[in-house]
Amino acid sequence: MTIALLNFPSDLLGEVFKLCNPFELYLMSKCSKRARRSVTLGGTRHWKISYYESKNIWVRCGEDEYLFKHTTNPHELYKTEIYPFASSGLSMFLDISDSGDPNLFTYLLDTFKITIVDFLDNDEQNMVFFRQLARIVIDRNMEIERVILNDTMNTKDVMDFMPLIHEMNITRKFSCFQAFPPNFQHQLTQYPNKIYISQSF
Amino acid sequence: MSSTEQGTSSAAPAEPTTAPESAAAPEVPESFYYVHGKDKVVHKVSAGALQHSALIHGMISNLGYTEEQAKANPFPFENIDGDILQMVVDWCNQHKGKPTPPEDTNLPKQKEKLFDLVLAVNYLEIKELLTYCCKQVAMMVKGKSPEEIREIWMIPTDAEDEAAEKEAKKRAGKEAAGETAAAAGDAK
Repeated sequence: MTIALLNFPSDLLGEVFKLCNPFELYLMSKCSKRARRSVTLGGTRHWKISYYESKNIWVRCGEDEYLFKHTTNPHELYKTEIYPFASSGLSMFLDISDSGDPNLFTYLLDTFKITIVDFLDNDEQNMVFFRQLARIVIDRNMEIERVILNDTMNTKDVMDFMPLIHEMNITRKFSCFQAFPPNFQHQLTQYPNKIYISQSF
Repeated sequence: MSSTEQGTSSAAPAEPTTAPESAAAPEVPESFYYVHGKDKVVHKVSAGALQHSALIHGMISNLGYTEEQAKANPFPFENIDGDILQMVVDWCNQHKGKPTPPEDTNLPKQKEKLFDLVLAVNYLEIKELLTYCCKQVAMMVKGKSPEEIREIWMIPTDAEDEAAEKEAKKRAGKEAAGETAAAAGDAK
């Protein structure tokens, strides 16, 4: 059965989109420019975005979690499955680059009109990609609720990254587990509700 | 005026559930209203069933019709096909005085009419049925690839959209030119 969805009036489209999850909206947005515009205009849910690992991007709304996952297997493409480590999470495989895909990140921000970053975490120590994401959220003046800087083997990389932390609008928590040289000083200009600095001696 | 019986006959199954109430309290005669679609076939529907439609409910409240006046002046919905209006009336009768369950199995079965049904339900402001219809539409693309979604939701490609836009512009230009020529002819 088929239905000419884009011929619906926009309020009705919005009603349908409210019942779709981010995967369905993402795939629809990929159908055409007009379809993407409809998704952007019709979307009313307040999604947040998170990045933990270079291969994966989370989109959340309340308790609902959706993970855009990397795959190179064409048979897995667009397949969805329950994400085993989330209470109510679903994941979908996409052919995103395994070294991180800033294009997917900005595509999701634009398509779903996301203005809040839930979580940024340099979990896989890919500081190049992490730096790209940081620049994107800073340039868009986005609110970032939580940032975690994990201890990497490359202190210099993280030290180089720190000026970006100072530019970020972190509102809830900043956690830093990186061991810096003794003469290093954090120079935060904005203060989230919680700051956790490990190995500060 | 022709009148279908579906309105009253579909309402019949609901009666046993209301019977104990009516035994306890003096029965108030139910008022009926009349609606027709594009095909002009008039459907008799109880006020209770029409409560589902915010639009019709508002019309009834504002007009304050007596039963005779309502019979003489059926609500015209010229933008709704007769068979679609029939589906909607049936649904309203089936759900008269009852809350709609989250998974409604009484949705009209003719899925090929879903597009028109959604438009009609949206126009008539039947919130519960609209939510259910939209859910049906959303469910159509669960687990599908972009190509399948494009096919199911009949989404034109960028090239098709561009061609349609060009065609529309060309047509609008021709029409505007025609109007200018006609106006010039009138002036002479």
